Amino acid sequence: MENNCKKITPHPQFLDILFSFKGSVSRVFKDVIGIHQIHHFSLARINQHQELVALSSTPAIEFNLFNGPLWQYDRTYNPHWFNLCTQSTWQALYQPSRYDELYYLKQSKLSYPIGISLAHKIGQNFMIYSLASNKSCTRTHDLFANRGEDFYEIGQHCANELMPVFNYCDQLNSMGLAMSA
Amino acid sequence: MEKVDLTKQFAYRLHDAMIAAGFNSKRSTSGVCIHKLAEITGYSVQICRKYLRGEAIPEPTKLVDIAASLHVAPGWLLFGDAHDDANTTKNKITLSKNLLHYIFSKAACLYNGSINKLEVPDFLMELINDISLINASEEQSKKIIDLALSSVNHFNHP
Repeated sequence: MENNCKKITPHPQFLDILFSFKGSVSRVFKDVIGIHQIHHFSLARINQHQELVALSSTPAIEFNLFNGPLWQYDRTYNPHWFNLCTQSTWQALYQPSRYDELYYLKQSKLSYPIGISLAHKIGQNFMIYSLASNKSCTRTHDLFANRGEDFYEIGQHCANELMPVFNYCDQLNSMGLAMSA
Repeated sequence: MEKVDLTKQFAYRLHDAMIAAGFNSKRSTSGVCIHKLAEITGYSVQICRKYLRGEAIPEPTKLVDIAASLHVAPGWLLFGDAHDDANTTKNKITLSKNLLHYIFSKAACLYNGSINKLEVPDFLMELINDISLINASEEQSKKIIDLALSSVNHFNHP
């Protein structure tokens, strides 16, 4: 595992947050699911305090990843990768030592043969847009390889829509409050 | 071709199926009750641990017994969705009766809340699908159900 992984800390209520705003989060992602064969879309935001919050159309992916230490072997959440503000396939970001588990949890289990992550900086925050498709045809491969600009725009749109939720999560943490049902 | 190890994939599915069947354990590092697996197979805990670690696959007759006890298809347990009828599998959700009952009993609030009544079935289907996919104990799943259902009335318009 790379040392820099330690720099990122999931929000203390990371797992709860995945489901605590489901009503509004689902509505935002519904607008983009289907575009360019996207069947999963998630946003992960790393704020200036290096704290990570994620909102997802398929929160089970992030839940299973962050319910243990496995996320630390996914370079999607490694500053070495997201500082580059680049685009990579999910499989290229799995560390070899835990490749099988990551491939199973993120892809096999949910039937997503193709997945990509795109990193982007907005102000002092890094945004990671992760998207996947349950198609594996040539057309979908081409779309995922060549439509990076579109995916950035889609990600920015979702990020703008969900910014109040991210800000609310920051407040929760700074005020030491807990999510409640 | 993706690097996929059959033995490890079997272990993940076994783990998932055991949790779905309610055989989870907080005390076990694997998160599932290894003694229940030993009871199903009639094998030692050490051998069962090898199954869950992806170090061994049981022989066919034992695999059938395990699958029957966990209410899954032996073919799925061994090979996963790719070797099953893809269309049938994609349209099915596996969830414990307890959790499904819990969702139904809590969902009444949605019909009295601010959400459009026509959106309720889609919301519930999504939630049921989410719960079926997470690797969580029943207690954890119930907490998530409560959080998701209460989210409908909060932050409706971000």
